[in-house]
Amino acid sequence: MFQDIRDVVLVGTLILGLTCGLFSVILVLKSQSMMGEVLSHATYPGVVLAFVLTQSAQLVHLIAGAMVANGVAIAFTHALKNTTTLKSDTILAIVLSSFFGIGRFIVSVFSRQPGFGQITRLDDFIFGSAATIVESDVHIIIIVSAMSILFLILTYSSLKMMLFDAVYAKSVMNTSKIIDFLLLVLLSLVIVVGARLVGTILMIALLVIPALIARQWSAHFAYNFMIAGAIGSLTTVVGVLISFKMENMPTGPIIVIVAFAILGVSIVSRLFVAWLGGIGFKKIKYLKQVGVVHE
Amino acid sequence: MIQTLAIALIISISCAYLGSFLFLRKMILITDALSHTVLLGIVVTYIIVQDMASMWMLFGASVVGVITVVMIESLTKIKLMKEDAAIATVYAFLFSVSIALISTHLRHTLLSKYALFGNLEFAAFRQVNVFGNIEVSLTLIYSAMLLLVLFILGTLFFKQLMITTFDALYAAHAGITVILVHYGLMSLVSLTIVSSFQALGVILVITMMVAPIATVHFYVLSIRKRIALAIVIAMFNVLLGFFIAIVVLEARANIASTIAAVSFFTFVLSWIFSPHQGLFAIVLRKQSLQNKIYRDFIFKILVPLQAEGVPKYVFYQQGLCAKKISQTIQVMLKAGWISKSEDKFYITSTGVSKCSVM
Repeated sequence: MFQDIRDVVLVGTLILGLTCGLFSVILVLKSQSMMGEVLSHATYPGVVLAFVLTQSAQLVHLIAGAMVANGVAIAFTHALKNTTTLKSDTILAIVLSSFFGIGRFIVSVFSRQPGFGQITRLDDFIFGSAATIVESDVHIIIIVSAMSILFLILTYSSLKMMLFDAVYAKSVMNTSKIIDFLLLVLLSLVIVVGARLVGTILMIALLVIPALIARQWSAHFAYNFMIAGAIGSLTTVVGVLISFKMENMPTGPIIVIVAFAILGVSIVSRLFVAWLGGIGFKKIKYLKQVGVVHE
Repeated sequence: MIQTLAIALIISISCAYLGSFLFLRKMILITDALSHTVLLGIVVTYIIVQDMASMWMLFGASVVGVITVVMIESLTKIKLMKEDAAIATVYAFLFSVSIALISTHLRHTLLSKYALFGNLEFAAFRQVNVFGNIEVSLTLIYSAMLLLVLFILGTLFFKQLMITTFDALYAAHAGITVILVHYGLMSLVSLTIVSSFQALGVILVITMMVAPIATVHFYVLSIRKRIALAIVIAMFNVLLGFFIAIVVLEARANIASTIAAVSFFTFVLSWIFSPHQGLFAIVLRKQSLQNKIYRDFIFKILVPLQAEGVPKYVFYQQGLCAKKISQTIQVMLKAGWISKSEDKFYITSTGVSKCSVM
């Protein structure tokens, strides 16, 4: 189908960026971006454990392990939130850093054992590397993305209701818990798949920045989705292209830097437009009235 | 080996001490962001100075720490963005800049590997002579100095720290510069992170800061006791982590991440088994409260009808859990507080005295 493996990777990243952009809107509106961070950090020990148990670096096995770890992390977070008086930021910090530490611990234990030499290859999951992606990985990315996008389209109106008035949504429909659960499952799937490309630590940027950019341009829910999706795919594609050009450059950082640059431009232009619309125009009008500026 | 242990102990004490204040001030998330972004200061200073252990490192890291805080605050001020989203954005950006710099400029240096994940074993490598002939590691000296500074500042400004933490408005009225305390604390955090990055790596520092104080949270309430106990627990974590990494796993494991894992497990164990706020304690307390309520309920029915007696069905007509009521009746019969004759229940004299005591 494709001439070059790079085309395959580009298609994969484009679709992944789109999905991440869509999810970012939900995550930011729910102000759960830290949950995304916990999930992305918890991916690492899951991947490592799956590798140790199955001794294969197949993406499917790694995804299974990461999903289990994500489930454990979510369970821990919820249990701690419900049974202790700890603040939620403390809980998140403890869970995410400890899970990451446990992952490092397992890697360091097994890295010097015979038969586990390939375990250092899992470092790809920390910073991501588009260069080592194979075609089957891209297939998985496409499947996951298609599932997520389909889910978002099907539950669009319910999601909108849940985001803006959770109590009302709970009272009028009995599927809100199921939708919440499915959302979490799909989110962790996307994070795990994306971690292969962007890395676990920087995955959070892809899950936050597109929505922030979209928020600067539009206050409409549907437009937010569209802009965030477009920005997500744009940044990932540009990032991957740059990292192909530059030797030794991991993909994740480049994508984040590109995304942050777009965010900066958006904020500045929004502020500028606001200045024009507010003070700027008024000032010009006043100056005209006074007679300093003429038509 | 002794020096490595000493470094780990000293760093863990500083982290736990500082972490207690951050925990109270709800600044854990910003600290988490700082622990990632300080890497940028380290990398940039390293590219300029080409020295891992220079004082410039501390300077660069504190500058980047302040930049991080300022960026987060200004992003939050622009509106349309909550604080957690701003924190995530800023830390991801600064962290990726430093990773990009590492992979283009410093690919083959020691920094690239150990700044991120840390290596206690190598932290003790660089040694200098002090007092003539005693070889002491540079990291040890730096971290000991930092601990001293932290303790001195913490004791001197304890009052100011507490007042600004609990009532910032009052503190401002009382003439304390709240902003100064805030930024001072933030630069101390950056200093701590940068002085421990060689040993722990920037990512695991946050565990050392949060885990001890969160563990202590389950045991005591007073702040001074909490800080003291947090330091003790941090030292215990380090010793246990060392023991597991060196003795049990025969030096195959990375010590820093072993300590992080151990910290997590002490936290989880305290959460489950702590005597006052642990899961088991809460369940037991709820159970005993429920028992007491059911007992009182039965007493309440029996006491006015001491002479007549009460048939069994009366207890079940009050809308409480039937199973629990029959259990409670069995227990009370066994204890001799109530007696049963001809399908009617009577309160006994011991029951009356018990009831009046309650």
